[in-house]
Amino acid sequence: MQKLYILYDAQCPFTLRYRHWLGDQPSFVPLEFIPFQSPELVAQFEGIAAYGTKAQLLVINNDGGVYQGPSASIICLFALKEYRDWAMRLSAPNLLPLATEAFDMLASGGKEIARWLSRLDDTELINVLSYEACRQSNQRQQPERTATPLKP
Amino acid sequence: MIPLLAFAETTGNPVTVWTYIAYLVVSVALTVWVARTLHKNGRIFLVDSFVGNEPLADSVNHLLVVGFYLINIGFVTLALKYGDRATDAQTALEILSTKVGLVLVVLGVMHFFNLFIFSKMRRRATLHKQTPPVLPQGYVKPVHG
Repeated sequence: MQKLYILYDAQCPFTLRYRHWLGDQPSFVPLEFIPFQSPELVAQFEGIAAYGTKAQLLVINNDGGVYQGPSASIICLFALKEYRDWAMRLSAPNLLPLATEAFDMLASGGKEIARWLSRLDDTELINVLSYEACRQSNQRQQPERTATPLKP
Repeated sequence: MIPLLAFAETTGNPVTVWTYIAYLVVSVALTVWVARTLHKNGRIFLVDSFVGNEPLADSVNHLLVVGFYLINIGFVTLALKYGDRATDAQTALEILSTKVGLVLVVLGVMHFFNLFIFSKMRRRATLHKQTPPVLPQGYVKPVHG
């Protein structure tokens, strides 16, 4: 792994925030950020459209390997100097399904939250992340409903 | 030995002077012994901390020993006058013991501090060598790059 291309949705506030957070962290390998909204850059990767482009992070390594969903979160953390430990821990089978929530908390919670999370054992961490997943899915449904009437 | 003996007998309180001489000899000998032991046994640990870069590890090992000598012999000489003066055999032994004990504690603290720093470095080095814990879900063909 010599380089990671991080494809993000510049119109989605969540992935945009992740992109800025990732850009601020010291990393082991160079990270190149590519918004889905610039087709000529996305066209560098033949066949990427099959993975979908809305409201998510897609990570492509220098060999063309595509990471999506929880794996994308893990590979992003793996690339960061201060979060590689987290990538190793979250790749365990019982934590892997919650890697996206963990990434979200680490990326938006700051150092204090990261330190607190790292003190939890696996069971406690799973509880916290599942609760967070629940809360977020409720939150994300809300704006969609209010947004519909605004469409012309 | 004769000039030293004469020196000890002619200046100040002979018991105090002999305590100081014993203190210096014991402390410097201990410092040399600790430094040599660390230099000999710390090498493997350092090589591992520097991801197998042996010339760098040897260089750092040597520099550490120099720093170790400077700090410890500096401390030993500075602390020579510190504390009570010995007046007889009993106080001489007590004071010698306290002073040597202090030197040993300082050596121990420095030793553990070094170990702490290097184990941190070693952890960083092992993190560096790890391979990604997840596999890609698929592959795309990069057109360039």
